[in-house]
Amino acid sequence: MKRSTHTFNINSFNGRISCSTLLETIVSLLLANIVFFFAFTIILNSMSGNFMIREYKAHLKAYSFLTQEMLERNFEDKAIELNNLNLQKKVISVENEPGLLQFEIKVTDRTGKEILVLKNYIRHEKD
Amino acid sequence: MSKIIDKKISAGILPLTLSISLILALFCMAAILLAYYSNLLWIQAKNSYRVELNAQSALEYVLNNKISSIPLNSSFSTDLFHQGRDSVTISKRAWGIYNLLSIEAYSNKIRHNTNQLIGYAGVQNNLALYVCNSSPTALTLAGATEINGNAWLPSKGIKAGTYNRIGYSGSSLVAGETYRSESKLPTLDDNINPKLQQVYDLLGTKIEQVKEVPKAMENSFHNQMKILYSQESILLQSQLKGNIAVVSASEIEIDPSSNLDNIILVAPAIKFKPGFKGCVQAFADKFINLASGVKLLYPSALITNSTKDSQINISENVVFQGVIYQSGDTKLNPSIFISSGSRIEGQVITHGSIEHHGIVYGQILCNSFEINDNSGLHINYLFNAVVDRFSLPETYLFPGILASDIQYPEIITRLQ
Repeated sequence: MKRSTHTFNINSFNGRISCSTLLETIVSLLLANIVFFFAFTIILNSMSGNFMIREYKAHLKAYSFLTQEMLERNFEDKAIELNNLNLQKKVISVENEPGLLQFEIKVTDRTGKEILVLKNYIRHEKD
Repeated sequence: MSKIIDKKISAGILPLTLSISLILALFCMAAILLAYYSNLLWIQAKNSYRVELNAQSALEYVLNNKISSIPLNSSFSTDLFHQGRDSVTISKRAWGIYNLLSIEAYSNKIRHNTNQLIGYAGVQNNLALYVCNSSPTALTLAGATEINGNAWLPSKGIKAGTYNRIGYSGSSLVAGETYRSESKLPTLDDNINPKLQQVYDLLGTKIEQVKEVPKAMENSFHNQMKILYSQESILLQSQLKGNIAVVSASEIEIDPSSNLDNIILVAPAIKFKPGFKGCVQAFADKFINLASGVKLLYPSALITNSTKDSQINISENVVFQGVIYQSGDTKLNPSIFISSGSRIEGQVITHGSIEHHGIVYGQILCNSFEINDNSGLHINYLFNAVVDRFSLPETYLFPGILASDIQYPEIITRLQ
């Protein structure tokens, strides 16, 4: 029985293909490019400070503001602006919990868009 | 148009196009994964910040006069801000004579645990001395005795006198207000007896005995309590820290080489050798002895049992910070002996009598004072003794033995 063999011949690519085949290939390539473009945009947005770093900075600012207000035991509403961020502290009485207050820190950007809200309880009865 | 599409071009362009596509696909995949994991990490970090802050909020929430309403050895869960995402579980149990508050804040798989010993600032009545109105004699002060703070005294009152021919050298008997005391000590907190029972029950536990106490051991308060039990007497020369109880059915001796931090000792007799320094709560049936030079740091406790005639002996040059409590009616004379040169910062409460020659910065509540010497028993005598409520630091927190102390809870220390 004759043994069947097949070997890839690089010389096959010396042949000719139709333009339609090439067109399909280019469309695939274009699609891949679009996906790549979007992914890359997301990464750039994440890394360049428009998204994650901005939120991270907002968190740091909000936490240090909250800590300072708690240490100083400042029980009044307050608003400050820090590095293009607006930090607003609201002091809210907690229902059915006399002696307990809620500090709410809201961080917004210059357009007024809310970036984050921190909430924390603090006692004030002994003051 | 169809002619152009049907036109044949070199096939060599095909592998080149495919290779470029493959490389671009790999780049896309990597970029998407990077974005995904960066985002995931950031969300985790945000949640972790929030959970940590929630644990702090839960502590404030529960310390806002809620802690006394939580039964001992129980826990409850709550949603802090009623938004369905700030869950905390708060549990209260006894750690010796003190309350231990555990808080677990969680969000999905992120958890943050804290443990803290809780004490109370107590009622602000500047109580320095409370002597029950059960003694037939007035309280007699001799030598360089000082009472700074308010005093609750028996109906016979207080007077200057002499002891060993030495008269009272002070200008005023009490530097503070005086009030009439009751025939018994002020009401105790309901949780005290269950707490003590819980500790003394360790003596009857049927657990495996340890042949030898390990040289070093540390146990977190997040874990189960480790009990090192022996029926023989134990000589402690170890470094023990945290959620550990050393229990002996016979006696525990503590060597100065040992390093003990926030542990519990339970035995019929507990003896601290000279020079020991550490922070422990010692629970004995019969006898506790602090040899000279011992330093027990805040929040320590020396407790003896109610049903036995027990005695606590504090030798010279001892510094003790915390609470000394003797429950029940002990008939020994005296039931607590405080030597000259020793200093106690905190609270001394006994249903028996005290022979006091040292310094107490804080409060003494007792049935009577006694001096037992060769010439006999001198009832309600204080000689060269100091009781100074005003020298107790304002930040000192009581363990809440007296019901009136259960006010203004605060954190004594955070435990790991």
